[in-house]
Amino acid sequence: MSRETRRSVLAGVGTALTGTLSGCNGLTPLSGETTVEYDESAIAALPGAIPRVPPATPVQPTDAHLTSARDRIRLLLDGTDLSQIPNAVVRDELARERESARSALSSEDPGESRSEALEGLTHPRSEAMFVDAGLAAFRDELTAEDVSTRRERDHADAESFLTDYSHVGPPDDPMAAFVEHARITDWGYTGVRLTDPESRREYENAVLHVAELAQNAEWGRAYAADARRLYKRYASTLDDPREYGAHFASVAATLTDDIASHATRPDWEALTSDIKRELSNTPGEKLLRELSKNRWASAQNAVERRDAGRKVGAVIPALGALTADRAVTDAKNAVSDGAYGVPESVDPIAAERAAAVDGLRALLGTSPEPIARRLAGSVHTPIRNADRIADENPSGADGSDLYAQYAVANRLAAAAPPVVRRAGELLRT
Amino acid sequence: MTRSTSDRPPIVAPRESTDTDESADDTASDPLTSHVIGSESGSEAVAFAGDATNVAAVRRLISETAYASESVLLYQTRVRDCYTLQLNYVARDDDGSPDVQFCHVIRDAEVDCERDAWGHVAAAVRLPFPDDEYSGLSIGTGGSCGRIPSRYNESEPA
Repeated sequence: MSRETRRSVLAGVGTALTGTLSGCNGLTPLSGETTVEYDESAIAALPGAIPRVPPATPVQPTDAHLTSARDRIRLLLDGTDLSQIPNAVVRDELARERESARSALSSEDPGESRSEALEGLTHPRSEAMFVDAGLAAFRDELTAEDVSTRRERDHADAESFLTDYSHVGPPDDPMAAFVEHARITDWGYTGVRLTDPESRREYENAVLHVAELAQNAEWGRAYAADARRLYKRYASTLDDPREYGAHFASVAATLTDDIASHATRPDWEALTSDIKRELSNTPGEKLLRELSKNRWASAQNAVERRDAGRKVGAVIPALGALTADRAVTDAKNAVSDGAYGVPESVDPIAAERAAAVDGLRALLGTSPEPIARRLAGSVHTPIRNADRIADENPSGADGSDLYAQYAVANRLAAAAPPVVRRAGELLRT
Repeated sequence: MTRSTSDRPPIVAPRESTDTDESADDTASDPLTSHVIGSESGSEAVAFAGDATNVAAVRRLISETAYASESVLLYQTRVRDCYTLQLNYVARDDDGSPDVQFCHVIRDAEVDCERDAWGHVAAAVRLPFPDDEYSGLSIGTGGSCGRIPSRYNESEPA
């Protein structure tokens, strides 16, 4: 489950990035060695503030909706006495899930949107159900067949919500309607998928197997129920709503056609055949591999969703693939020109991070902002991940890996704004 | 599957042996880890500890095996008290050698056990071919029960 945070700050996109990248190459020589000892204190100093990404959706879940999700966890955990279970391993498995669910009730992130907080409560609800169902199975009050019946009902409910779905929105703001429906239908389809009978089996133990079946069903039910409730709230805010389904399907078809050729596994040899330098074990290799993998996964996701008839669901991954495609081209040119070798010091790594943060800030200032915020997650995440590694283990952190991660963020941030603007043009017309 | 409730393993004879000396002192050798029964006379040599569970079922499996076309694998090992072994699959390698894989599963919730305590289990698996059809045998115990590896097109039921 990925969490995306969003934020917008205006900046000059192309100029800032070009300057940063050329400065990176010109000021810091790159080592020909593949192993370099880095200054630990300089690595530890890399992490810093990252622009917050604000929520893309104009209408957020209500406080009451969040409260009911937390109440669901409390209700399922209420009075759970695990001491009655003689088998210590079964007892411990249930206790572990109970602890995880409880911790979600006590860990509110003030920086999270209500939408993110609600999504963050879906799995804890399933963990609480694991405990409740496990105890019921132990008492012979619940069987796998009971859970299957419940799951089938939840699955049918989740499917019917999407079958009857109407992409309504304000008559003058298809953009707002798009981002709202992208979120709601993402949750809805996740609910359908998780309540599907083809679920994993981890436990042979009868009690724990019933518990895991119920957990999966609850996880999907929570997503589907949240989607339905958020849809209802969104629809209630609309005056004279307009139906955008056909329009969104047309946009999805156009964008997906553009990237469909990347929906197959990238050919590394072909990708790098015109690069006349040694790439092995360099940040440049990691950068190109990561970006081409990103392009492939996003394109594959977009095509699959389009083929499944998802009117809005294909658009965001198609935009992600378009962004990654531009980033691959730009990164290849940079690597061909000698960039992204193994850095001799932490300076180029810090410069790449600074460029990535500037790029993220610029992206968040790109209009239409809701689309920019949806793409900003793929920039924010690698910066955050690299920061975390540098912060938690500066002595063990691989400088080349950090460099490559910041470079991924930097290249995606630089590539995204034109894609955001194109999406805006398509969605508005 | 049989299990002992003491430190003694559930199958106490035949014992592990490094040679074929029939006169060797059985009680001096280790408890068996694996043993193939290929004949009715071989089945008669199997003996169980006094506190072994499920002995009747294991005896029945051994005695009802048609040794002209079948054989029985006995496999005995230590296991944590809250777990037991489950047969995952039986397959045959290209040379005909059986590949018998077990997995660990958590015992019933009603079983009173502690996480760090240990015991012994023994499995009796009827193989659908006589022991003279193979000279080797591989046995594995994975952590969890999974699918049969794709190199085996189809599995032979035990």
